[in-house]
Amino acid sequence: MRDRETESEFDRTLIEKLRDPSTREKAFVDLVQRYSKPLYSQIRRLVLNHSDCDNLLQEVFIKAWKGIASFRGDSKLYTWLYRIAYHEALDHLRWKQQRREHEVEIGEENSFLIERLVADPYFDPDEAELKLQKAIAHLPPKQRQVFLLRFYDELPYSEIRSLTGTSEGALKSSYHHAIQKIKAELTDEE
Amino acid sequence: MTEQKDSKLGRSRQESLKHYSIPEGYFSDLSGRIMERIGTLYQEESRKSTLMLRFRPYLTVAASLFLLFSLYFVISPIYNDGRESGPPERVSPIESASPLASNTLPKTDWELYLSNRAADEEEEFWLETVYTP
Repeated sequence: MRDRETESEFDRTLIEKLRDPSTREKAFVDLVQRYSKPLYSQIRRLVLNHSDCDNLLQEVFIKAWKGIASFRGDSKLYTWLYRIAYHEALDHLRWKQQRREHEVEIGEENSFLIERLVADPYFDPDEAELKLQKAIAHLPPKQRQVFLLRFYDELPYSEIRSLTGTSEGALKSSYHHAIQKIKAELTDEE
Repeated sequence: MTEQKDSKLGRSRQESLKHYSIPEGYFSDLSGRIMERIGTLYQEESRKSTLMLRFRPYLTVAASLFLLFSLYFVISPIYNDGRESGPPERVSPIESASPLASNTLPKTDWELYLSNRAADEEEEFWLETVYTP
């Protein structure tokens, strides 16, 4: 509760500074320092590869810089940034998938993610982890999003609802389906 | 809760996360790199707007000329609508022959040759169209 108050207080002060041209730059550096780690984690789980994640994270903050004037403050600053990051990552995945379909034969959906992961020097290769990520990559976007937020961040459904704008019932159902699909895929591979 | 989730997948989040790493010092210089990119973007935008300002007068003149030409081509057919349309009137060669049509006497051999030729053609034209034996 206290953390939330501190967070909303921090957000309010930061937004005021971001809207003032004289303090804007300094406030933006504070924003990057505060939210870069959680956003990095969210994007990395979606795109897996560090280099892709780094590019996307920078794009997210550039979009935030351009769009901060239009941020009305209806949601938390992190929620706003998370949504930019999520859509940015999804666009990236769609673009990669389309490019792959044009260049080579149509393969498994999101199989390029595993290839990028294997090629990533910041990934310690592990067969079980590759299987898990392959199963996660096969999930539809919504189920993948809920699964990642619940499994890795252990967020309560109420918080996932505020981040995604989806009802709790739909989130529970998506998570349940995601778990079933991943389990089935892991069992099949064994 | 975590244990329950782990038992469902047979793998914990910690087990999964330990396989991923980040370059050392990545977050410490991230804000610097982002601000640098933002600065570059602003420089590009201001360069574009400077170019736009510099070329604005030329663009205005070009656009005005284009507009005038467009208007001419739109308006001139409207004014020509009143005229009769049909096959072009047959014009006497002597009227169209340049040296004589310009009300000046032939000065050079070439002009003289042309005027003689035009006279021959005029005679033929007269015989064909006007003369009745």
